Amino acid sequence: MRNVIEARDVTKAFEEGSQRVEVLRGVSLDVRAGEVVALEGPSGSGKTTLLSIMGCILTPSSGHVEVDGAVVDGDPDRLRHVRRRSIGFVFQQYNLFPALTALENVEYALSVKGVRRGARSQAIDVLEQVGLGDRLHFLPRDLSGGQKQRVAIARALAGSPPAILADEPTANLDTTAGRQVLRMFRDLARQEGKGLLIVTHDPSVREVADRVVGIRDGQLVKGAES
Amino acid sequence: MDRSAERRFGPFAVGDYREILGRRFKIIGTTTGAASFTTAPIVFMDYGNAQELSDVIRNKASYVLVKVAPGADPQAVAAAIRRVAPYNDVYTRDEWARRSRSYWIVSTGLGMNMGVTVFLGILVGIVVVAQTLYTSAVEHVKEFGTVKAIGGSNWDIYRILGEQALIAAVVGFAVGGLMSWAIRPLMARLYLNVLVSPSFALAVFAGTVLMCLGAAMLSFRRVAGIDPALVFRT
Repeated sequence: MRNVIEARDVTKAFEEGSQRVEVLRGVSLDVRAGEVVALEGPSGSGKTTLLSIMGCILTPSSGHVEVDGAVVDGDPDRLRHVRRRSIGFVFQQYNLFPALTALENVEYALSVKGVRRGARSQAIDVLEQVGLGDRLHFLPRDLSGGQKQRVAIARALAGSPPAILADEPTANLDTTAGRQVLRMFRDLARQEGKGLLIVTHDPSVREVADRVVGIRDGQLVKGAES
Repeated sequence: MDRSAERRFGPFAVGDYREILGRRFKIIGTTTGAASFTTAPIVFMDYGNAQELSDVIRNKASYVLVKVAPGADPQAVAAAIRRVAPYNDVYTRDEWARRSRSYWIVSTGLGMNMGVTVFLGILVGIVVVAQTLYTSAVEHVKEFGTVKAIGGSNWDIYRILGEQALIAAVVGFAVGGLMSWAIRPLMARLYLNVLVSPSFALAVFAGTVLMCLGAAMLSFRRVAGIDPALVFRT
């Protein structure tokens, strides 16, 4: 399987006043097509920073990142282009647009990705794919947590990016809804060949993950990969 | 006598008598729409009577009104009069109307007063709209961060803010227009006519749109600096 995301020797440091804080120290991680990778680590270990770099939201201080074959440099327009074309995000807080219906949320994501023609039918397709065909015109406030997260997954799938990055996607869900979402992630990887990177504290993610990677103090933990 | 004179003379009717500059006159008709900018009302009377009332115009003719024959070209008639009376001002009706408006707007300071009022209105409008849009932008900063995170550009967000500014412009114009329409009867009672021509309404609408878009610039600056990484902060 080809790599949809590759990170090699990535470091990231932030300046905090006169101090330089190194958040990531020489991290290398690949996510392959059709694979679910769970990234585990305590708060402050650098997992969200790594997710941001692999998702082209942040640029590394040093190292090499490639997404779907495209080398990512520090050019903000290029980063945005890669995000738009190759990556779908799922957030812990769903981050849906509250004034838009489920359908409009997905349609808007498609419009941001430059899809104009057929956007509505594509949006309906992905919402049906996540089992929300009967909730197309519901506002986020009228949906349960699990349904909101499924809309967020549908939005991430809009435009069919090869990689999906999820930040604590089950943190705000009850056990049943969490398991449904995780099963959906697994099916996306298996059936559609998406590469999924899930940052999580939730041990149930291990059940669907092909690999579990640990991170501590900005470094991948040796022996933690399974 | 114009109906607006009731403010000065009290209610009157045709056949009543009123004293003007020490002489008693019988009211033989009434007019409307000839309200004066000053406290002195406008009264139409025989020119001889008018000359007797005022030393300024006694034995003088200040204006001669020419009524052109049907089908005659007023410009050509005015040009012909200019040729035979070269030391007099000769104007067509439209030219005279323009000069009168210009006199009241420019020479009397009324225009300056109105201009300052309009300027202050625009200034307050810009501040209110800018503040409203800015507050809205700050409240939705996470949503704008999400737009950027999923690949949206600053222009995608500017478009959202621009649409909000346009909504503010349309709603504001509609409310303002309706209010102007609604107060027409009240203003008419004060002998002030609210005239809103289609071209004037269009110009005001265009100005309102520009004002609101200008006010959105403050929000544009705010959202341009949004870091998409904030979507991961809870």
